[in-house]
Amino acid sequence: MAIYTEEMTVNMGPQHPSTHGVLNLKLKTDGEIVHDARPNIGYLHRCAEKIAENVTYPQFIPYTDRMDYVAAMNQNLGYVLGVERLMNVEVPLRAQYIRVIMAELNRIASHLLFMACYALDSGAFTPFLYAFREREMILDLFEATCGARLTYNYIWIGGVSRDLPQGFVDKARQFLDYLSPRVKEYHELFSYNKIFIERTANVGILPKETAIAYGVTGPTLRGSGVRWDLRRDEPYLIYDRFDFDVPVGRGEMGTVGDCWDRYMVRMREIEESAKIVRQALDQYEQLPPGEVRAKVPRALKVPPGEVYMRTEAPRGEIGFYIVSDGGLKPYRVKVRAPSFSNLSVFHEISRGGMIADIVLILGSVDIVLGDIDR
Amino acid sequence: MQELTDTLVRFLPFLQAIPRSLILGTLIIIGATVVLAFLVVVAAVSTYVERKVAGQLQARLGPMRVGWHGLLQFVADPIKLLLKEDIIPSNVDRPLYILAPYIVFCGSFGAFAALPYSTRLRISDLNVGIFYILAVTSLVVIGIIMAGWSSNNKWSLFGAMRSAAQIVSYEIPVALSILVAVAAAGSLNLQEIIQAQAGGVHRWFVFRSPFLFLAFFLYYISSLAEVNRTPFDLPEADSELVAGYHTEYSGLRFAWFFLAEYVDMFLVGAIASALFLGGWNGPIFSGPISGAIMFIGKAYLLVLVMMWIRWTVPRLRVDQLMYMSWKVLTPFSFACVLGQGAWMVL
Amino acid sequence: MRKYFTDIYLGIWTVLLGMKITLIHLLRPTVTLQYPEEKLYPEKKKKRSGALPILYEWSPPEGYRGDLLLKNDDCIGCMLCAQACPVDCFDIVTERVSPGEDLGKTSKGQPKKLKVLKFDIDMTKCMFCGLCVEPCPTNGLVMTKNYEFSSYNRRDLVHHFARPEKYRKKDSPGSGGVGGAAPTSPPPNVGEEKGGGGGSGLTR
Repeated sequence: MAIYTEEMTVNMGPQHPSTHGVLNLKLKTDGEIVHDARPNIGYLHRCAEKIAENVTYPQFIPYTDRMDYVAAMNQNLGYVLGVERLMNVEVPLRAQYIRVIMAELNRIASHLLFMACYALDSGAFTPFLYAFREREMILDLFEATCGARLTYNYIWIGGVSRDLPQGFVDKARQFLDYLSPRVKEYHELFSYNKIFIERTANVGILPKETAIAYGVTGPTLRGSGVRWDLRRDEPYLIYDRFDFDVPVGRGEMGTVGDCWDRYMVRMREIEESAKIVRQALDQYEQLPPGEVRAKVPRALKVPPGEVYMRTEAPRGEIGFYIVSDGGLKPYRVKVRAPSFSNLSVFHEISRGGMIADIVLILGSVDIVLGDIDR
Repeated sequence: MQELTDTLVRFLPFLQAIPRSLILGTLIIIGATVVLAFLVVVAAVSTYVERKVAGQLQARLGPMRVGWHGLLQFVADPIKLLLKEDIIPSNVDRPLYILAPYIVFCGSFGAFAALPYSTRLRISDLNVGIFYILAVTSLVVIGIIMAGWSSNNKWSLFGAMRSAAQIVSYEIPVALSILVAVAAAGSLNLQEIIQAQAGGVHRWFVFRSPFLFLAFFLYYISSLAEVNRTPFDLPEADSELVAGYHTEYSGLRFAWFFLAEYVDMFLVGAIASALFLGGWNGPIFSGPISGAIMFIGKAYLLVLVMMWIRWTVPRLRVDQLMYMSWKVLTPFSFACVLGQGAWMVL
Repeated sequence: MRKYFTDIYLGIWTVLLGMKITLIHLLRPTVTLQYPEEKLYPEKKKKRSGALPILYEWSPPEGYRGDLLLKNDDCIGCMLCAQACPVDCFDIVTERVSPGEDLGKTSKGQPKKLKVLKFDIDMTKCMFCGLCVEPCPTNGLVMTKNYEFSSYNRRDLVHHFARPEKYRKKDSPGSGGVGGAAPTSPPPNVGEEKGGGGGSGLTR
């Protein structure tokens, strides 16, 4: 006699301790095994793209901060680079170095936050506090530079808003020296912990072809073995002056493209970004003093045209499609958010896993709801 | 209790008029109240210690506001829980919902009747002491399933199912590791087991044979699973199921679950120290009172190690939990039992 | 079979390694501050405890984007800040001076040509972006280091910076003869503007 079982539809609701923000997951489970997981988004939609049609170009920069609030400098950068390409502005070299330093420091901060939340999702509470202690130092550096800790509004059209303060270079170097032994500590405490490896290896395997088909970018893509990084393949700013590796997932602890690989790619990226910052600081010190902002008129008029500018944010490729009709305000700004495309692959890779795996897979895709919903 | 009654009646002759059973009954109730008070204090202090230890391990201070360095926090928390509104959701299964916390607490609390704290200080001298303890702590499973089912909440049900599977599976390595110590002592009576370890630290069971050494660790790890502590805290995984089987409980009902967890931790520490670490045969003292202090101290040290493990290690998944129980801990405990038997014969 | 034993060994060994790291942290000093007794504030200079190298002195750094402050003497009423604000939290009302009136100069020497009758900043709308501070020609609008200005009602969070009374004192009463006894009647409320300035412009 066959036993009659039913599929249970469970809502991993908008309020949940470990969906990173207000995300609703509709799970169809059979006991513990998940048959389907569909994300339901839109709880954080704040009409940023519509607002862009009503504010001027410089006024939109704080709104870009608030989309991916964890890595705000990179959002600023993407938008501003797009506008500058339309205007053909020549940005001073000093400002470009500062932009690179800020973007990479923010990448380190974002990946530290990823590690913290990932540890929290898997049950180890301590790495969360250690990572925030390190992140605090980066935020102190940012606070000294631009006055704010999370929504910076620092990278402006034509350059940056202020020069780096006195002593920034030394403090930044001090921080980087402090960081490398800490990262080793994290590997000892958490990354190579057998329990963590058991939970993440061979879980949520994302094959190369699926990742490319769904438009996944960033460390999620690199975890599947695809060596694609916009900083190296389509260099913007002055990234071609720096020497850095692009880490990819190699399937050390399981298959290529599982959660452990994605996690490890981000941890290695922290070290690579630290390398870039060190080189940038060295080169910045050699520069003669100068302007950090090109002369742009206060009432900024952008010549008509359209541009799609993509940069490598910590979560993937962020693209700004800006259409201008020659006026003070943009005609249309469309943001291609990395977390949106990364989340679209979620239902593929979570099929067949358990509920405990769902949480870890979602964490390894590293989404920020502000990015998805804008 | 019997000899206490006899002593009392001898000293206070006016009590001879009252039937013996009544005196016995009153003494039992007083004894139970004393133990309950002691346990509640231990559990409440454990909550404070846990938060402080967690803070220090995470490079932060724990509670600091209530009293000097937060010392009165363990008073403030129960008061808060007591003053909360007693909410019973409307669609729950009322009898089960109301009964569940008490069953869970009784399961943990009842085991303390058989523990000897020192040569003279014990509640009852059961011949099958350790067996009784194993049986009573199994009541917890029933309480958890009742809580999860009656909450009318899918997440609670998940937590309850996981917990039931976990606790039942880990009872086997627990029982087998206890069996190793029982074999070494030759009796199920806890007092006799402790007396078999008298005479100095080198006579503790932990150091007497490699199988006993291994059995200690096996017992400790399996009982971590019995108590639902990380890395086995899947039933109450905060990041997955909100709060598992006690999601729908608040106020005093939640306090019972909460206390039961810490009381269980202390129980595990107490049994481990009684069976393997010499009980009240402390490193230095073994008297009637100082032995009790040694015993409680050793038990609490093991509780601190449990807290240390909790804040370091990530969580195991359900199937890995089951794998660990059935394929790792059980074979090793079998091997320990056989090995200990062979060791004792040879 | 071998994998079985190596897994068990690795499991135990990595857990012990992790426990060693947390134990080391048990012995290190803590890195948190007990707000509000210990906090970042310009006056208190105390060493920060903990294992961190000291990044900056115990105060919000220069250029911190805190509460907004308008130095009244320096405002020339150009409204560039209101135009720059993305969320429109400024409410500014200005009035041209009548000929013959002299409002003086700002602290940097720029002449003031507009009376600022109302300058409200609604901090509940402000997003602390700092876009208003940059265009101010006299540096009259600054962002202070104050970050602790929460309040119990919304009204307190609207800054009213304008001081319209000082214009009344500057207006010489009785220059046109209308208004009666000049020294003994300082008009108590705002509606008396007409008495002093003659045909000055609109008052919204």
